[in-house]
Amino acid sequence: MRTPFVGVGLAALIVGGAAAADAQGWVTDARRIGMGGLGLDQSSLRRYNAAYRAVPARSGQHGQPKLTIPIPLGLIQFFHDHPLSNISNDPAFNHDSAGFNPVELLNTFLNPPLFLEVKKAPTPTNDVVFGIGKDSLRVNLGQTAKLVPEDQFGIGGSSRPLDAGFAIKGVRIGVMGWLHEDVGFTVGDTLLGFLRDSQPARPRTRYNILGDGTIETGFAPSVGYAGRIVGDSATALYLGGALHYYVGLAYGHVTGDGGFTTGDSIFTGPTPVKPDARALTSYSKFGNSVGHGFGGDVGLALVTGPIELGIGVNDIGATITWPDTRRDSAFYRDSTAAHNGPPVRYSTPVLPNHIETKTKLPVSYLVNLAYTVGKTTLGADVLNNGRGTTVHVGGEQRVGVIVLRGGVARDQRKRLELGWGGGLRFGGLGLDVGFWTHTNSLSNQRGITMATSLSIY
Amino acid sequence: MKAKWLGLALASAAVAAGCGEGRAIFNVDVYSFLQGTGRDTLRLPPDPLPPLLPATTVTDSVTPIAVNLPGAGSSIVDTVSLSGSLDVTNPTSSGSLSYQIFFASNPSPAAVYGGAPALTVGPASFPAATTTSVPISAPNLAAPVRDLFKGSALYIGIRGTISNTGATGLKTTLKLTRLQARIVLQDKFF
Repeated sequence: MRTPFVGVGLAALIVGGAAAADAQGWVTDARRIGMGGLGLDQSSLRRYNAAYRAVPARSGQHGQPKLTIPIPLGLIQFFHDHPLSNISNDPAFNHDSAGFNPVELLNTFLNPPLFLEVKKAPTPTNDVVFGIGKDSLRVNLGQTAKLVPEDQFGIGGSSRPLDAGFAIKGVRIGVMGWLHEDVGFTVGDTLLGFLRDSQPARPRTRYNILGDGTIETGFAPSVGYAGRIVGDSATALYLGGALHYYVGLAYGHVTGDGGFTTGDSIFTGPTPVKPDARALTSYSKFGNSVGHGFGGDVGLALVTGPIELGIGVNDIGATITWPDTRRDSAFYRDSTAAHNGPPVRYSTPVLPNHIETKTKLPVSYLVNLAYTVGKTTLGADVLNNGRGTTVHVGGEQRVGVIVLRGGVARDQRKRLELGWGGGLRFGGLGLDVGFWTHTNSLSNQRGITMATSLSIY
Repeated sequence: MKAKWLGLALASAAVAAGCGEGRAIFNVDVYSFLQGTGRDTLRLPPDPLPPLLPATTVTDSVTPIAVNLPGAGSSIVDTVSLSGSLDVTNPTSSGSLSYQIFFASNPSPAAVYGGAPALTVGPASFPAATTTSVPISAPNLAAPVRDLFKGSALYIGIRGTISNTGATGLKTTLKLTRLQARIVLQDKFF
C-alpha cells in the first residue's frame, strides 16, 4: 500500500508542480536577477539576437564581464543541512523515514538550491477533508484545489549550452550545442472535477492524466555574419544572421495516458479500481544514426544615441530529420480482462519500425529595448524561448563603484515578479547580489531568492 | 484492493495539491458499511429464543465487518471521534441497555472482541413499548485505538447487552441508525 501510495503521490506532485518549474527560466547571474531577469548587456542579448555580436558596448557601461561565476551560497547551506556522507539515510530523501516530506523534496527540485532561499514560499496549510462511505468518496481540498491545473501545463524550451567560435571581419564560424525539451501534462476532466471541484467519485469512470514529452539534443556547426550595415558610431543599424546545420545525437518522444477506472461501485466488489497505463514511444538513442537539418537565426539592432532597439529570431525552419527512429508501445493493466489474473504488461515494437521522424525546434524570439542616459540604463524585453512569453522591465544605476538594480517581470504563469539588488565593482572584479520573487514552488504565494555572483571584467 | 482506490485517490488529491502542513480530516460514514448487511441490527434475545425473563441479562454481537480507510502511513492520528445513534425498537418490557463498539485490524471475531471495547454506550434505561433513541458519542478514542485508523482496513464489531428490569418478558431489536467517525490526521501521509 505504502509504495504505490508514495509513488503515485510523488508522480502527482511532480505533475502538479511542474507547471511552475519553468516559470522564470534558470538564471545564474545576480545582475540579471537583480533586474527581474532582464538581460541588458550584449553577452546575454547575443543568445537571441545575432546582430548583437556587432553592437558595441553602450557608453557609460564599464565593459562587459568576461566571466560571471555564481556564488552558490544555497548549495553550501543545502549540503550543511544534508551532508553527502549521509545522503542515503537523509530523512528528506528517504521515503521510509518519518521525516520524509515529498512537498519539500519537490520544492527542492523546482528550486534547485544554488542560491539562498531567503523567504520560502509557504505551502498551503488548509485542512483537506475526505468524505468516505461504503460507496462514496469525495475530497474537498479547500484553497489548495486552486493549485490543480485546469489546462495543459509543463516544462520546456530550447537552449544552447555551448556556443564556441571565432569571427573575422564579422563572419563567424563556430559550433553550438543545442537542447530541446518539452514535457506537458493534462489532468483528465473527471480527475480534474474530483480534485478541483470536489465532485464525488463516480462508478465505472476513468480518472487519468495525459502526458506528452520530447527531448532531443545535438550540436550544430554554424556560419554567421554580424555587422553594421548603415550609420555611424552614434546612430546605426546592425544586422546579424547565422545558418546552422543541426546534427542530432539523440531523440526521444513519449505520449502516455495513465489512470484508473472505477468499478461498478466505489468500494464494493472485488475490483473497485483498475489501474492502467499506456504509452507510445519513439526514439533514436545516442550512437544510433544521427539526425540532421538546417535552420537559421536572424537579428536586427538599431542604435540611435542613448536608445537601443533589437529584435532577434532563432531556429527559424529548424526541422530535424531522424532517419532511423524506433517505435515502441507499452501497456499495463493490473489484471486480466476478467480481473482474476496477474497484471498484464508489455512493451512491444510498433510496426512499421525504424522509420523516419521529423521534429521541429521551437522558434524563439527576443524583442529588447534599452535606454542609457548618464550612469543610468533602463531596459525592457519580451522573450519567448519555446514555451510561453516572459516580459522583463528593469534598470541599473551606477554610483561610483556601486550599482543599484531593480526590475519587474511577468513570468510564464502571467504572474508579476520583482527583482532588486546591487553590486560593487573594483577594477576587474565585480561582486553582485540580486533578489527576486518567484512562484516556482507548490504555492500561490511568492518566495524570495538571493543570488550572488562574481564577475571578472 | 479496495484500499488501492483510496490510496490512489488520496495520493492524487492530497499530494497533487501540495498538502502542506494542514490537517487531513476523514469523515467516514461507518453506518453505510453496515447498512444492508444485517449487521446494523441486533435482535435480543436472538430469534428463535424466547423473550428474556425479568431480572435476567443477554448479550450478543455481530460478525465483524470491514471498513475501508486510506492508510495513513506514518501520519499521527490526532483525533478519532464517533457520533451516532441507536434505536431500541419496540421493547416488550422495560430494560437497560449497554452497547459496545470494538475496532481491530484483524477480521477474526476472537481478535475483534478479545480486546477492550473502543466505546461503551450506556447502561441506558428504556421504557416498554416505545422506541428509544440512544445517542452514541465519543469525543476522542484512546490512543491505541486511534492508531488502528492508520491502517487501510479496519474491522468493527458491535456487542449489545440488555437487562430486563420489567415484569414481563423482553424482546427487542437494537438498530443502529447513524454512526460517523471523524478522523483527524496530522499531515504526514508518507
